[in-house]
Amino acid sequence: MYVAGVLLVCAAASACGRTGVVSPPPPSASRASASAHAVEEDAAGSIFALDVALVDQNGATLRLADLAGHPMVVTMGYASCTSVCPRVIEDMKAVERALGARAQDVRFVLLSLDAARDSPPALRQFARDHHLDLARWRLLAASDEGVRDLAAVLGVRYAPAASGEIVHSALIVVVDRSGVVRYRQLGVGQDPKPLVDAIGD
Amino acid sequence: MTAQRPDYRVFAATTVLAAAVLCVTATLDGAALQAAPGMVMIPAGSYRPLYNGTTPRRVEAFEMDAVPVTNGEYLAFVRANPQWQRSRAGRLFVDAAYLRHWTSDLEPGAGAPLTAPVTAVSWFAARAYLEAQRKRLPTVDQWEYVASLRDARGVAGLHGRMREWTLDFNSSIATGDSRRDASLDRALFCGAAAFGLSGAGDGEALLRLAFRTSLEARYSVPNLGFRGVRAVAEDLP
Repeated sequence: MYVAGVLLVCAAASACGRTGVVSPPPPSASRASASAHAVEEDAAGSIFALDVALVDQNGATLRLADLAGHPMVVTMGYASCTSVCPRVIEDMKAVERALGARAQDVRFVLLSLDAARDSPPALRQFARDHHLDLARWRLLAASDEGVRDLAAVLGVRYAPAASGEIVHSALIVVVDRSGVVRYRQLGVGQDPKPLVDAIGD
Repeated sequence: MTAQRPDYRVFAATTVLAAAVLCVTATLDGAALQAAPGMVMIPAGSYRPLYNGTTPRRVEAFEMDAVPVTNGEYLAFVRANPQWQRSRAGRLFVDAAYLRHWTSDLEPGAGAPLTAPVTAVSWFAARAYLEAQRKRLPTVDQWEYVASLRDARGVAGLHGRMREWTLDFNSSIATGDSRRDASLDRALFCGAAAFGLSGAGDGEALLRLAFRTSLEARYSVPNLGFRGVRAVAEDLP
């Protein structure tokens, strides 16, 4: 059992070790140069290569690629989560404040893990509860399959628990305006500066 | 001569025999639901997972590929779906090690015998292959349930060196320092209080869990392949 514990600590360490910069920004935001760098550094391509149908907090339908054009600070969570999710939102709001005027150009995105319960009214209530400025925040829901694909491209781990909770990694991801992941931060209560720096231009 | 009383033993025996014949017939009717070629019918049942409580989890009946997908089968898939060939596959969905051991896009070569399991394919690639077959990746529950069966009914290759993709591999979440407690570090994972190892002793299952926690969906890993499953209802005429 101790050996098994060591194995899992190692696995956890490798998972936690995924904080930090995933890939340096390419010289331009075009997809052509981004993929040229991807071959050299084996960075993942734009998340917009994944087609997912989404519904926002107002009930508007969109596809993942419709989020292109603004740098994004993204997390996956769900409205009825009472454990760490509120702290993740606070960390994202700290980034929003730290950006100052630059925050106008950035989008703060919550992708729901809870397809069944996170309806548009539930997401609007969540926005009110957390005082989110919907000019910059998007709260988005997808189907179960869409959630699985989004978690797969972002590297979020999640599992429904017997209690009705959804256990999941507290992950904040910075995505540039062409959809390439620039930074992933695991865990809450950390200094917003690396996230702010990763947002770049 | 006195009238013979009905022989209840004969009556009982006949009833039991009739019931047995009916039971066998009913079973045969159930077994007449044949699995698709190359697949094995797995009956419903339950197994005890390593984590998330000690309650046994129920798994409904399903069909599972008897063996993992081979290089030959995967070659046919990339011929028909060039967007999944090694030099063309999207960088979001595969990493640089995708089919690295193949000689070229359409040549598995000596390092990848056609009848051997295909490896170094990402979760996205495996899913695309299986979708084309009207199949899906097994869930962790389905895979671990079959692995726990004493009689795997012809499903082979679950207990060797090879690992296999599961649909919800990212539900396997690494736990914290087991010397203090087996639950998840609360600063890293939401709902950490809900999780923890049950202490069930299967070392192989524990190694598989640890392996899954290290995976990302675009990874291509040398000993990681896959097989497909299909819900039983989908095969009904």
